[in-house]
Amino acid sequence: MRIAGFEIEEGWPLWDSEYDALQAWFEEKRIDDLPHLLSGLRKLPAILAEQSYGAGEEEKRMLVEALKEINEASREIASRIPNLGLYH
Amino acid sequence: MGRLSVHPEVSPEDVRRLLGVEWNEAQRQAVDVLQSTKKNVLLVAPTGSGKSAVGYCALALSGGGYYLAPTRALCYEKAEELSRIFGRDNVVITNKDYSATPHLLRSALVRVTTPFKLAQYLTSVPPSGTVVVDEVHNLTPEVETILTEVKRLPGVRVVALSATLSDEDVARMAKWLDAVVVEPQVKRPVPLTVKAIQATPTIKLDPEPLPVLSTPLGDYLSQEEFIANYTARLLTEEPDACVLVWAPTRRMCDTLAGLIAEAVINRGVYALGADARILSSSPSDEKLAQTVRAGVGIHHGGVSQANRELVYNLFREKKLRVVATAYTLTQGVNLPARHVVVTTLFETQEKLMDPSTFHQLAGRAGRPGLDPYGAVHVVVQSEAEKAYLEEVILKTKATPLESRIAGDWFLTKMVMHLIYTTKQRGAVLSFFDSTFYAAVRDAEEVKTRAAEVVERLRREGVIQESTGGALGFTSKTWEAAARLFMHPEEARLARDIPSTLSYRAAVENAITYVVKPQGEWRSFDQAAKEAAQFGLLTYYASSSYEARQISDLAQAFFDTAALFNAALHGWRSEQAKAARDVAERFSYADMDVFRELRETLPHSIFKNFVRNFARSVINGTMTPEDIEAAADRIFWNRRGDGKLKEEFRKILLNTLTQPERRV
Repeated sequence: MRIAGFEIEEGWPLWDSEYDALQAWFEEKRIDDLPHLLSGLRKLPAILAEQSYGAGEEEKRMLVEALKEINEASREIASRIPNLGLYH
Repeated sequence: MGRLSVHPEVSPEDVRRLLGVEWNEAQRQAVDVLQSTKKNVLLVAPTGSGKSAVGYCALALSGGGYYLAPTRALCYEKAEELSRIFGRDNVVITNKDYSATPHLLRSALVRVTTPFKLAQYLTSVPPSGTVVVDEVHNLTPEVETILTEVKRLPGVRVVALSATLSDEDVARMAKWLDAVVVEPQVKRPVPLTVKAIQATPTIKLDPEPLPVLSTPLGDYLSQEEFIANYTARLLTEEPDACVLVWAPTRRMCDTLAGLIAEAVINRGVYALGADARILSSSPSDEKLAQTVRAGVGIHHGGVSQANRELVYNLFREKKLRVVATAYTLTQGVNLPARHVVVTTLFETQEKLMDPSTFHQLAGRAGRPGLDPYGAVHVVVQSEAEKAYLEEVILKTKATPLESRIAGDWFLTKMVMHLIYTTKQRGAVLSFFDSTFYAAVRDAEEVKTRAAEVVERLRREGVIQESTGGALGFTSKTWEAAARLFMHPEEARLARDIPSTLSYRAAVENAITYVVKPQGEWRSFDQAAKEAAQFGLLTYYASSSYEARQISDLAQAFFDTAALFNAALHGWRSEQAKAARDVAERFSYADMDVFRELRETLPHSIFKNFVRNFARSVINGTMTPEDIEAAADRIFWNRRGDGKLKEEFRKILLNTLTQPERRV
């Protein structure tokens, strides 16, 4: 799965189910599993930061883009949550 | 002092006077209903509206009975309040912390207990008078069974209390209990606000990319550090306010308590700090001994019973300004917490908090007579989490109720118990007509399953059927098991603990044959190779939440095993003692070996030690030689780490070979 040029791989600290949930969102805008999608979103910045240790200016710019994409995803997911029919 | 043989006459007016309160509208309506009818009553009113006092009135009107509370902390609080009303000698408490003999229970006017315990006493001390079911939305299989049984007893009234039932479930529950609904349209007496606090994971770019939490108080490296400072700021802004901090795990509670204590000391806001003697018997107790001086307490299942009660009392007296808790103080309790900080909406990595759990937790803030208002601060880490809070949790009154009696494990226990009490196949099956399951789903479906269980028990030789159709047990072992609400598998294992099995094998069998079948565990396996290498019994669970459930189920089994062997051989028998020993060792070891190792060892060693495995560590029978060998293996390539190796050996020796150091 790629987010703004960064390759996100399955494996620690992303659980399989978190990876699957993120992939469903970033590749097809599907919310298959909200809890894992939200917990996966929490972890993405730390994963990106780890990948970018020693980053140059170009990579830092990509990081900013990736964070924008994550925040945008979060806003879009937020707008769809009322229609998921949870507990109704 | 002997117990009173004459029941004191207590009226609802006495209850009000002894509690030192004035009835509010909800209470007035409910007490009126209690006095005007003998029918069952379902009281649905907001948190903090004084439902418990209505339950006490019901007990007073019927001259006593049972008060069922879902947690040990709630049992303790209710027993304290009921003692003020009925006298300490007339109130008995029984749960995992407090044991009571059937004789003691029979002689008491009011018994405060958990549903799990009452299920074990249903036949030896059958309910009479009133059964108050606090937090009835916690419809565990035990609660459903107890209520089904009680509904059939003549002259026994059920008074069910809840703040978190949906309108649909109020109707279903009332129909099932044949109860008068009291649902006063009142607002919460103390106003409550809920606020989302955004702490967004982000990256600080200079000089190197560093993951941080961007929060209203600035950037923090960890959520715990932010919450500690946020909590300290609440205390600074309101010098008369107290804060309850909820976290999903015991470990996070301990960490937070330590950080909050540091933060309040740094800000100079620790008002009193308790001059309390904390007996340290676990790392959580040791942490508590440090934090309590700064006015910060810890209350969860890993803190010893005596210390939990101490923390509860100090917080009530406002000698502690902050308590970090996991699940022990989240339901029903009445504490002066003006603020509740919900540190995350994740109960586990894969479970978002459901609306009922949230509303119960939020309801601890701003209690009548203790605070002028309540505020709930929920830490969210994204817009999406905020939307889940605002659009799902806050817009849903309660999580829908579901019956959980039809799972095979519980159903088998239930059928065993029903055979013990009714002796007739027809009576066993007709019991299910009165269950909540039958009321909301299909009675025939659960009866078919129950009939299959009867057949299976007959085939397995647990029960026999006479030519006249009567059902009976083939041995006293099965009969004792049925009386104590046990599964045959539990009875088999309990019977074998003393004579044939080592401690290690007893635990392994309990996990395999009793705990595993009781849950749909996401992932739960013994880490055989790596654990055995170090003489440990190590289990991998998918989350600390599941690990705790697993541990609780195993411990409950050993407690029940002790009761079972006592019933068969007497309390002082070798068999009962052996089961009690296993229970005590188990509860100790589960708690903290893992944590101590994690705190002590460098991450790389720790990862090798229990790589991808241990969430719950259960000790085996390790000799000092085994420990020496384990230390040698772990530090094989780390000759420079002599001190660390010594520390490691010390922890293992101290924690794995001293079962008397019980939590």
